[in-house]
Amino acid sequence: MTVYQFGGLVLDGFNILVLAYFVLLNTVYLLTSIVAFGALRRYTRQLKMLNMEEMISSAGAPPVTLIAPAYNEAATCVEATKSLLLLKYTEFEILVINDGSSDETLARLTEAFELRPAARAPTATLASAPVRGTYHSRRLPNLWVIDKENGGKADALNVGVNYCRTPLFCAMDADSLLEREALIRVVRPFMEDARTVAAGGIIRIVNDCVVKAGMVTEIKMPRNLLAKFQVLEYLRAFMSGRMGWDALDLTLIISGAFGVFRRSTVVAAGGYTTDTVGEDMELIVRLHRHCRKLGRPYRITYVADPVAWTECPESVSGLGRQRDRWQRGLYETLMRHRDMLLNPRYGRIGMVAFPYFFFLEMLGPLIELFGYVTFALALILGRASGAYVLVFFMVAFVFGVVLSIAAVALEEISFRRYPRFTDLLQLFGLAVLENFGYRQLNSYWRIRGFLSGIRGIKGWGKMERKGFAVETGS
Amino acid sequence: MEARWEPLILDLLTGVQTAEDVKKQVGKQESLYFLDFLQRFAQRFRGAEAAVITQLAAAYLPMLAERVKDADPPRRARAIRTLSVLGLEPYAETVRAALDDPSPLVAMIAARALAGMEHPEYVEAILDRLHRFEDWSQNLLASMLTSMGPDVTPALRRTLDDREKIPRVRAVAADALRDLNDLAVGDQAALILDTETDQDLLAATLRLLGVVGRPEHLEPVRRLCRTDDFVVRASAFGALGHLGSRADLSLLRSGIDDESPWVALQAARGLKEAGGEQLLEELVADDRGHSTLAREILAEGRPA
Repeated sequence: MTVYQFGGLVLDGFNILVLAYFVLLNTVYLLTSIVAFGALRRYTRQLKMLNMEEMISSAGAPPVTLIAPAYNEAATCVEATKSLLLLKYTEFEILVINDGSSDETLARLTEAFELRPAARAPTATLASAPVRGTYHSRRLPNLWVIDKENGGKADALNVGVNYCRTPLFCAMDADSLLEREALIRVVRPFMEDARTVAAGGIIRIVNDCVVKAGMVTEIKMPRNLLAKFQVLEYLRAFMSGRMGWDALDLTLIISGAFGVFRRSTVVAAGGYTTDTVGEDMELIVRLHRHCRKLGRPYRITYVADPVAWTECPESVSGLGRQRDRWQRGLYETLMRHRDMLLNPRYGRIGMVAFPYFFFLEMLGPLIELFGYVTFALALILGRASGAYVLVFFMVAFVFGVVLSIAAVALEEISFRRYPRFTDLLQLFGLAVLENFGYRQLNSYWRIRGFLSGIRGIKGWGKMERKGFAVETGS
Repeated sequence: MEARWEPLILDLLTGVQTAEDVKKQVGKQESLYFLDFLQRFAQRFRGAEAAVITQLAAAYLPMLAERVKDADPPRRARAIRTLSVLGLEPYAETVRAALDDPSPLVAMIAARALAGMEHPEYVEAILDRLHRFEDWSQNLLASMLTSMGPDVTPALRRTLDDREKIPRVRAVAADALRDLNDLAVGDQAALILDTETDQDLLAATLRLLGVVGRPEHLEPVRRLCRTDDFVVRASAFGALGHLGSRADLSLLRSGIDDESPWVALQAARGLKEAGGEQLLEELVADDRGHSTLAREILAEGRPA
């Protein structure tokens, strides 16, 4: 056998592996989409039957602490805090954690809310950077600001948990905008099922939407193409992915931008890990581990309609850094808990969810990007038969487009947040277009993140914020 | 359809059309959708307007009552919900029977509907099935029972005493009795503190005693301030703060040194409530360990 022949066989073998990867990945997506369809249908019907919002507002809803870490958020912190104060919920407290900002974040908050130094004793002792002071608003009894030395988001969240006095806390990004009913809706699983230890909501993209008095008043598709792609990605991830995984009781991620947790369980599990950029996923994996180790019945769930709006990056470099960071966080979490992989002790989390994230989400981009290269190589060298090209195209592209369209359809039949027909057409168009460049670029960034994880690179990188299209209310 | 029906109902409410006129304009196949629409529409109104809508709906309700036997739990739940809004009085027994529905969601909707009626006779039926809602929040269940009013206190007291019932159900009864401020339950609650060991039940009973207890109930509360379970200990210090006197100041002060911050917090609040502000001032001046907690508790309730 010549070197050329051997190389050809390797190429063929790799192409089959890539094909198998696409088949497996898209089959999983298809299955989660089908399951998500049933779950969303049940959920929307149940919402009509039981007026949970009325029930929660009238009947013993557990108090919640909103923990909003802020680092150099002078431009947005006052508006963001005001929007939190408008949430519909019977009893909640807001803890803004100033994570050693070097700008005027603390001064702006002090001026806007008439903060004064006030003693507040912690109720837990999760490790964190030192707290410099605690401040209470003179005007708003449920608003506190904790000033601490810089330690990162996870560290700031730990401080928030330490000062939390309520059975539940809501972890969020300082620049997330929660819909007014978001808290009521996300607390629902805690009311219905006392075993619930964590619940997450859906994250939607706010770019170019109209924001008035801290609330999204008009939903629009972003003008920026990268942001448009991300709208589609988020719909796919939340409507098909997380909804489907949740219906199978396999939730392994709750977004750091919006999640509610049972305080006592998080404290018992050790709080947030500060040496990873994927502290949100790491906490969920650790909660699974903690509860299963103790043999304690628990539930970690996703709710489809409590919405947190967030700004997404619009530049190639900003998006690249974000995806790099996400993939690094995924790598760090999965490697830290690698003993859970295919470990029956962790039930379906160890046997299904963890392997999915390990092989398809963490290693997948490597296979995918090399797959595009070897596919092109096979075409150039004439080693790809017409049937193979057709199957590859069907599995890698057409199947993917169909799944994206299914995610948009799920959104349309359940919540219909993008009511304009032109928005719908755009989303369908994007489902096709993303396969030509955007998807490959994403795989590249994710491989970069994976390699950064292997090399042990830390840090969040520079975050870019354009700010919301704000209309001031009267 | 709803766009067509809404003006019809508004005409009915303003007397422009009669119920018979409206019914003629609703197709037979549309009946269940119409009822669903009426159920949502009716919730916007009270008094006479609500009664007009209920009367209009009455003709359609027998069809809906059949749906309570549907094989699909969401359909059953929806039927119960609609019956509870549009015609609970004549269908109260149908709703009561739904407490035994195999679906906990249907049973919960039925329980909420019955609790919302001003008929305390249904409390026994709900209490007998409260164990079915084991996973629901204790606060929510207690609040549901409280909404039935003070006439249900005898049944709640019986449940609190009933050792056949699971402790969580008894704890829910204790929380409801506390919300109803049932002053007659003190002795019974003190006895439970002497005889029971379940954490939920003890904590709820201590919360209850903190509101309705009297000085003669202090002994078991003081004893539980030294129990190993921090949840019970924190509740005991909370109750001691409400019930205790200056004689309890040293016990309350010792609670501030507790290893659990929750116990320390309750003890500090209790200390202030029992008249121990001087001791808290001393802790502030001491500027060690507990000064932050003491300063916080002293500042609570003061104008900013």
